[in-house]
Amino acid sequence: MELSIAHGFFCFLVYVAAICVVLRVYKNVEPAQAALVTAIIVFFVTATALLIAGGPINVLGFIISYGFFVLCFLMAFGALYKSISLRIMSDLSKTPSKTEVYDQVVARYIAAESYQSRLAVILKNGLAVRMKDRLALTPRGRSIALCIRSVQKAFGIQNSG
Amino acid sequence: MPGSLAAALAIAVLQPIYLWMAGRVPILKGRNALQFLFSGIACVGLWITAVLLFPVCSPRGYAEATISLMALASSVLVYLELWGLISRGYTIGILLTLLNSVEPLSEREIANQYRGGKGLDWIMEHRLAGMLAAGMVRRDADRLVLTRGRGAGVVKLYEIAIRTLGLQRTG
Repeated sequence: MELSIAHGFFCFLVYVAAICVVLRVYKNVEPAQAALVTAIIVFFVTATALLIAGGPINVLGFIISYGFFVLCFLMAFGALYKSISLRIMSDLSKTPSKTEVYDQVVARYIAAESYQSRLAVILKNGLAVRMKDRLALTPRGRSIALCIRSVQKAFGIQNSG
Repeated sequence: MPGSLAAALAIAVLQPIYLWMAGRVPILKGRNALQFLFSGIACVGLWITAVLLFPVCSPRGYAEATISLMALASSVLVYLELWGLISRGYTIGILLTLLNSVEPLSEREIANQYRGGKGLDWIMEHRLAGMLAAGMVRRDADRLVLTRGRGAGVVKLYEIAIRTLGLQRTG
Protein backbone atom coordinates (compact mmCIF):
# COMPACT_ATOMS: atom_id res chain seq x y z
CA MET A 1 0.00 0.00 0.00
CA GLU A 2 2.84 2.43 0.86
CA LEU A 3 4.37 1.79 -2.53
CA SER A 4 1.07 2.34 -4.35
CA ILE A 5 0.86 5.90 -2.96
CA ALA A 6 4.40 6.56 -4.20
CA HIS A 7 3.55 5.00 -7.59
CA GLY A 8 0.41 7.11 -7.85
CA PHE A 9 2.28 10.28 -6.99
CA PHE A 10 5.10 9.55 -9.42
CA CYS A 11 2.64 8.92 -12.25
CA PHE A 12 0.80 12.09 -11.31
CA LEU A 13 4.06 14.04 -11.76
CA VAL A 14 4.42 12.41 -15.19
CA TYR A 15 0.87 13.59 -15.93
CA VAL A 16 1.64 17.20 -14.93
CA ALA A 17 4.70 17.18 -17.19
CA ALA A 18 2.64 15.65 -20.01
CA ILE A 19 -0.15 18.23 -19.74
CA CYS A 20 2.41 21.08 -19.87
CA VAL A 21 3.70 19.64 -23.15
CA VAL A 22 0.25 18.80 -24.60
CA LEU A 23 -1.12 22.32 -24.00
CA ARG A 24 1.90 23.82 -25.75
CA VAL A 25 1.83 21.43 -28.73
CA TYR A 26 -1.93 21.17 -29.35
CA LYS A 27 -2.90 24.82 -29.05
CA ASN A 28 -6.27 24.40 -30.76
CA VAL A 29 -7.53 21.65 -28.45
CA GLU A 30 -9.96 22.58 -25.67
CA PRO A 31 -7.73 22.62 -22.51
CA ALA A 32 -10.30 20.85 -20.30
CA GLN A 33 -10.59 18.06 -22.86
CA ALA A 34 -6.80 17.85 -23.19
CA ALA A 35 -6.40 17.62 -19.41
CA LEU A 36 -8.91 14.78 -19.14
CA VAL A 37 -7.70 12.75 -22.13
CA THR A 38 -4.05 13.16 -21.06
CA ALA A 39 -4.93 11.90 -17.55
CA ILE A 40 -6.43 8.71 -19.03
CA ILE A 41 -3.55 8.11 -21.47
CA VAL A 42 -0.88 8.73 -18.79
CA PHE A 43 -2.71 6.33 -16.47
CA PHE A 44 -2.61 3.46 -18.96
CA VAL A 45 0.95 4.19 -20.11
CA THR A 46 2.40 4.47 -16.59
CA ALA A 47 0.41 1.49 -15.25
CA THR A 48 1.71 -0.63 -18.15
CA ALA A 49 5.26 0.60 -17.53
CA LEU A 50 4.99 -0.30 -13.83
CA LEU A 51 3.66 -3.77 -14.68
CA ILE A 52 6.44 -4.35 -17.23
CA ALA A 53 9.04 -3.16 -14.70
CA GLY A 54 7.87 -6.17 -12.68
CA GLY A 55 7.92 -4.71 -9.19
CA PRO A 56 5.14 -5.37 -6.68
CA ILE A 57 2.16 -3.16 -7.56
CA ASN A 58 -1.10 -2.81 -5.68
CA VAL A 59 -3.39 -1.95 -8.59
CA LEU A 60 -6.32 -0.71 -6.49
CA GLY A 61 -4.07 1.45 -4.33
CA PHE A 62 -2.36 2.82 -7.43
CA ILE A 63 -5.67 3.67 -9.14
CA ILE A 64 -6.98 5.42 -6.01
CA SER A 65 -3.82 7.44 -5.30
CA TYR A 66 -3.30 8.45 -8.95
CA GLY A 67 -7.00 9.30 -9.26
CA PHE A 68 -6.90 11.39 -6.09
CA PHE A 69 -3.88 13.47 -7.14
CA VAL A 70 -5.26 13.96 -10.65
CA LEU A 71 -8.68 15.02 -9.32
CA CYS A 72 -7.06 17.58 -7.00
CA PHE A 73 -5.05 18.89 -9.96
CA LEU A 74 -8.11 19.03 -12.22
CA MET A 75 -10.03 21.02 -9.60
CA ALA A 76 -7.22 23.59 -9.45
CA PHE A 77 -6.84 23.49 -13.24
CA GLY A 78 -10.57 24.11 -13.70
CA ALA A 79 -10.43 27.05 -11.28
CA LEU A 80 -7.48 28.55 -13.17
CA TYR A 81 -8.93 27.91 -16.59
CA LYS A 82 -12.52 28.97 -15.93
CA SER A 83 -12.17 31.67 -13.29
CA ILE A 84 -13.48 35.02 -14.47
CA SER A 85 -12.46 36.59 -11.15
CA LEU A 86 -8.80 35.69 -11.69
CA ARG A 87 -8.91 37.02 -15.22
CA ILE A 88 -10.47 40.29 -14.11
CA MET A 89 -7.72 40.69 -11.52
CA SER A 90 -5.02 39.79 -14.04
CA ASP A 91 -6.33 42.37 -16.52
CA LEU A 92 -6.60 44.98 -13.77
CA SER A 93 -2.92 44.42 -12.95
CA LYS A 94 -2.01 45.23 -16.56
CA THR A 95 -3.59 48.70 -16.45
CA PRO A 96 -1.19 51.50 -15.38
CA SER A 97 -3.35 52.54 -12.40
CA LYS A 98 -4.43 48.94 -11.51
CA THR A 99 -8.02 50.15 -11.70
CA GLU A 100 -10.95 50.15 -14.09
CA VAL A 101 -14.51 51.48 -14.19
CA TYR A 102 -16.81 48.89 -12.63
CA ASP A 103 -19.50 49.10 -15.33
CA GLN A 104 -16.89 48.50 -18.05
CA VAL A 105 -15.71 45.36 -16.27
CA VAL A 106 -19.29 44.08 -16.04
CA ALA A 107 -19.97 44.88 -19.69
CA ARG A 108 -16.79 43.21 -20.93
CA TYR A 109 -16.57 40.06 -18.84
CA ILE A 110 -20.16 39.23 -17.96
CA ALA A 111 -22.35 40.71 -20.66
CA ALA A 112 -20.07 40.46 -23.67
CA GLU A 113 -17.65 37.52 -23.25
CA SER A 114 -19.08 35.17 -20.67
CA TYR A 115 -22.78 35.49 -21.49
CA GLN A 116 -22.32 35.37 -25.26
CA SER A 117 -20.02 32.34 -25.06
CA ARG A 118 -22.62 30.49 -22.94
CA LEU A 119 -25.39 31.31 -25.40
CA ALA A 120 -23.16 30.08 -28.22
CA VAL A 121 -22.57 26.78 -26.34
CA ILE A 122 -26.32 26.32 -25.82
CA LEU A 123 -27.07 26.97 -29.50
CA LYS A 124 -24.16 24.86 -30.75
CA ASN A 125 -25.25 21.87 -28.66
CA GLY A 126 -28.80 22.09 -29.95
CA LEU A 127 -30.33 22.94 -26.56
CA ALA A 128 -31.99 26.08 -27.91
CA VAL A 129 -32.78 27.58 -31.30
CA ARG A 130 -32.90 31.13 -32.51
CA MET A 131 -36.33 32.29 -33.73
CA LYS A 132 -35.71 35.68 -35.32
CA ASP A 133 -34.17 37.63 -32.42
CA ARG A 134 -35.46 35.29 -29.71
CA LEU A 135 -34.29 32.03 -28.20
CA ALA A 136 -36.46 29.00 -27.43
CA LEU A 137 -35.55 25.63 -25.94
CA THR A 138 -35.47 22.65 -28.28
CA PRO A 139 -37.21 19.43 -27.08
CA ARG A 140 -33.76 18.15 -26.02
CA GLY A 141 -32.97 21.38 -24.19
CA ARG A 142 -36.36 21.30 -22.49
CA SER A 143 -35.96 17.72 -21.28
CA ILE A 144 -32.46 18.45 -19.94
CA ALA A 145 -33.72 21.62 -18.20
CA LEU A 146 -36.68 19.71 -16.71
CA CYS A 147 -34.32 16.99 -15.50
CA ILE A 148 -32.02 19.56 -13.86
CA ARG A 149 -34.98 21.30 -12.25
CA SER A 150 -36.23 18.04 -10.73
CA VAL A 151 -32.73 17.23 -9.41
CA GLN A 152 -32.54 20.72 -7.89
CA LYS A 153 -35.98 20.24 -6.33
CA ALA A 154 -35.03 16.83 -4.91
CA PHE A 155 -31.88 18.21 -3.29
CA GLY A 156 -33.49 21.42 -2.05
CA ILE A 157 -31.44 23.71 -4.29
CA GLN A 158 -33.42 26.92 -4.33
CA ASN A 159 -31.15 29.40 -6.07
CA SER A 160 -28.99 28.28 -8.93
CA GLY A 161 -26.78 30.13 -11.37
CA MET B 1 -10.47 -5.28 -0.57
CA PRO B 2 -9.45 -3.91 2.84
CA GLY B 3 -12.36 -3.23 5.21
CA SER B 4 -11.46 0.44 5.72
CA LEU B 5 -11.46 1.03 1.96
CA ALA B 6 -14.75 -0.85 1.48
CA ALA B 7 -16.29 1.30 4.25
CA ALA B 8 -14.96 4.49 2.61
CA LEU B 9 -16.41 3.52 -0.78
CA ALA B 10 -19.79 2.48 0.69
CA ILE B 11 -20.06 5.74 2.64
CA ALA B 12 -18.96 7.79 -0.38
CA VAL B 13 -21.54 6.19 -2.70
CA LEU B 14 -24.27 7.28 -0.29
CA GLN B 15 -23.29 10.97 -0.31
CA PRO B 16 -26.36 11.99 -2.39
CA ILE B 17 -28.47 10.78 0.54
CA TYR B 18 -26.60 13.07 2.95
CA LEU B 19 -27.05 15.89 0.43
CA TRP B 20 -30.75 15.13 0.23
CA MET B 21 -30.96 15.20 4.03
CA ALA B 22 -29.01 18.50 4.14
CA GLY B 23 -31.63 20.04 1.85
CA ARG B 24 -34.26 19.26 4.50
CA VAL B 25 -32.42 20.90 7.42
CA PRO B 26 -34.18 24.27 7.93
CA ILE B 27 -30.98 26.17 8.79
CA LEU B 28 -29.30 24.96 5.56
CA LYS B 29 -32.24 25.75 3.22
CA GLY B 30 -31.12 27.83 0.24
CA ARG B 31 -27.45 27.67 1.34
CA ASN B 32 -26.01 25.36 -1.30
CA ALA B 33 -22.37 25.54 -0.20
CA LEU B 34 -23.26 24.76 3.43
CA GLN B 35 -25.44 21.84 2.32
CA PHE B 36 -22.44 20.34 0.56
CA LEU B 37 -20.15 21.01 3.51
CA PHE B 38 -22.64 19.20 5.75
CA SER B 39 -22.64 16.15 3.46
CA GLY B 40 -18.83 16.13 3.24
CA ILE B 41 -18.47 16.27 7.02
CA ALA B 42 -21.07 13.49 7.27
CA CYS B 43 -18.92 11.29 4.98
CA VAL B 44 -15.76 11.75 7.02
CA GLY B 45 -17.65 11.45 10.32
CA LEU B 46 -19.32 8.21 9.26
CA TRP B 47 -16.01 6.72 8.09
CA ILE B 48 -14.30 7.57 11.38
CA THR B 49 -17.29 6.09 13.27
CA ALA B 50 -17.14 2.90 11.18
CA VAL B 51 -13.37 2.59 11.76
CA LEU B 52 -13.75 3.06 15.52
CA LEU B 53 -16.84 0.86 16.00
CA PHE B 54 -16.23 -2.08 13.66
CA PRO B 55 -12.89 -3.95 13.86
CA VAL B 56 -13.37 -5.19 10.27
CA CYS B 57 -13.26 -1.56 9.08
CA SER B 58 -10.13 -0.74 11.02
CA PRO B 59 -7.19 0.09 8.65
CA ARG B 60 -4.07 -2.06 8.95
CA GLY B 61 -1.50 0.64 8.98
CA TYR B 62 -1.01 4.24 7.99
CA ALA B 63 -0.90 3.59 4.24
CA GLU B 64 -4.23 1.75 4.17
CA ALA B 65 -5.89 4.58 6.13
CA THR B 66 -4.40 7.11 3.67
CA ILE B 67 -5.64 5.18 0.64
CA SER B 68 -9.13 4.88 2.19
CA LEU B 69 -9.25 8.61 2.90
CA MET B 70 -7.99 9.34 -0.64
CA ALA B 71 -10.87 7.25 -2.04
CA LEU B 72 -13.34 9.10 0.17
CA ALA B 73 -11.90 12.50 -0.76
CA SER B 74 -11.89 11.65 -4.48
CA SER B 75 -15.55 10.78 -4.34
CA VAL B 76 -16.34 13.99 -2.44
CA LEU B 77 -14.46 15.98 -5.13
CA VAL B 78 -16.48 14.34 -7.92
CA TYR B 79 -19.73 15.12 -6.11
CA LEU B 80 -18.50 18.67 -5.45
CA GLU B 81 -17.97 19.18 -9.16
CA LEU B 82 -21.47 17.88 -9.96
CA TRP B 83 -23.00 19.89 -7.11
CA GLY B 84 -21.27 23.04 -8.31
CA LEU B 85 -22.59 22.45 -11.81
CA ILE B 86 -26.18 21.90 -10.66
CA SER B 87 -26.29 24.62 -8.04
CA ARG B 88 -24.06 27.29 -9.63
CA GLY B 89 -23.86 26.46 -13.34
CA TYR B 90 -24.10 29.58 -15.47
CA THR B 91 -25.24 27.72 -18.61
CA ILE B 92 -27.75 25.72 -16.57
CA GLY B 93 -29.06 29.02 -15.16
CA ILE B 94 -29.72 30.25 -18.71
CA LEU B 95 -31.50 26.99 -19.64
CA LEU B 96 -33.72 27.27 -16.56
CA THR B 97 -34.50 30.89 -17.36
CA LEU B 98 -35.73 29.77 -20.81
CA LEU B 99 -37.67 26.89 -19.22
CA ASN B 100 -39.42 29.21 -16.78
CA SER B 101 -40.62 31.48 -19.56
CA VAL B 102 -43.86 30.71 -21.41
CA GLU B 103 -42.55 32.26 -24.63
CA PRO B 104 -39.17 32.58 -26.41
CA LEU B 105 -36.94 35.27 -24.92
CA SER B 106 -34.58 37.79 -26.46
CA GLU B 107 -30.96 37.85 -25.23
CA ARG B 108 -31.72 40.95 -23.17
CA GLU B 109 -34.79 39.33 -21.59
CA ILE B 110 -32.78 36.23 -20.65
CA ALA B 111 -30.14 38.48 -19.08
CA ASN B 112 -32.80 40.39 -17.11
CA GLN B 113 -34.72 37.31 -15.97
CA TYR B 114 -31.59 35.30 -15.07
CA ARG B 115 -31.68 33.71 -11.61
CA GLY B 116 -35.32 34.47 -10.91
CA GLY B 117 -35.13 38.10 -12.04
CA LYS B 118 -31.85 39.03 -10.35
CA GLY B 119 -30.27 39.49 -13.78
CA LEU B 120 -26.75 38.91 -15.07
CA ASP B 121 -25.39 41.69 -12.86
CA TRP B 122 -25.95 39.30 -9.99
CA ILE B 123 -23.08 37.15 -11.26
CA MET B 124 -20.72 40.10 -11.16
CA GLU B 125 -21.96 41.24 -7.76
CA HIS B 126 -21.59 37.69 -6.43
CA ARG B 127 -18.03 37.40 -7.77
CA LEU B 128 -17.13 40.89 -6.62
CA ALA B 129 -18.43 40.18 -3.11
CA GLY B 130 -16.09 37.19 -2.94
CA MET B 131 -13.11 39.17 -4.26
CA LEU B 132 -13.84 42.07 -1.86
CA ALA B 133 -14.25 39.73 1.11
CA ALA B 134 -10.93 38.06 0.27
CA GLY B 135 -9.19 41.46 0.05
CA MET B 136 -8.19 40.98 -3.61
CA VAL B 137 -9.89 44.15 -4.89
CA ARG B 138 -11.58 47.21 -3.41
CA ARG B 139 -14.28 49.58 -4.66
CA ASP B 140 -13.32 53.20 -5.10
CA ALA B 141 -16.48 55.10 -6.09
CA ASP B 142 -17.35 53.70 -9.54
CA ARG B 143 -13.99 51.98 -10.00
CA LEU B 144 -12.61 48.56 -9.20
CA VAL B 145 -9.07 48.65 -7.78
CA LEU B 146 -6.65 45.73 -7.44
CA THR B 147 -5.16 45.66 -3.94
CA ARG B 148 -1.37 45.93 -3.77
CA GLY B 149 -0.66 43.11 -1.34
CA ARG B 150 -3.04 40.20 -1.67
CA GLY B 151 -4.56 41.04 -5.06
CA ALA B 152 -1.21 41.63 -6.77
CA GLY B 153 0.24 38.52 -5.08
CA VAL B 154 -2.58 36.28 -6.27
CA VAL B 155 -2.26 37.68 -9.81
CA LYS B 156 1.47 36.88 -9.76
CA LEU B 157 0.79 33.26 -8.70
CA TYR B 158 -2.01 32.97 -11.27
CA GLU B 159 0.25 34.18 -14.08
CA ILE B 160 3.05 31.82 -13.05
CA ALA B 161 0.58 28.90 -13.10
CA ILE B 162 -0.82 29.94 -16.50
CA ARG B 163 2.68 30.27 -17.97
CA THR B 164 3.86 26.96 -16.48
CA LEU B 165 0.86 25.06 -17.80
CA GLY B 166 0.99 26.76 -21.17
CA LEU B 167 -2.64 27.92 -21.06
CA GLN B 168 -3.37 30.45 -23.79
CA ARG B 169 -6.57 32.01 -22.59
CA THR B 170 -8.67 31.58 -19.45
CA GLY B 171 -12.04 32.66 -18.09
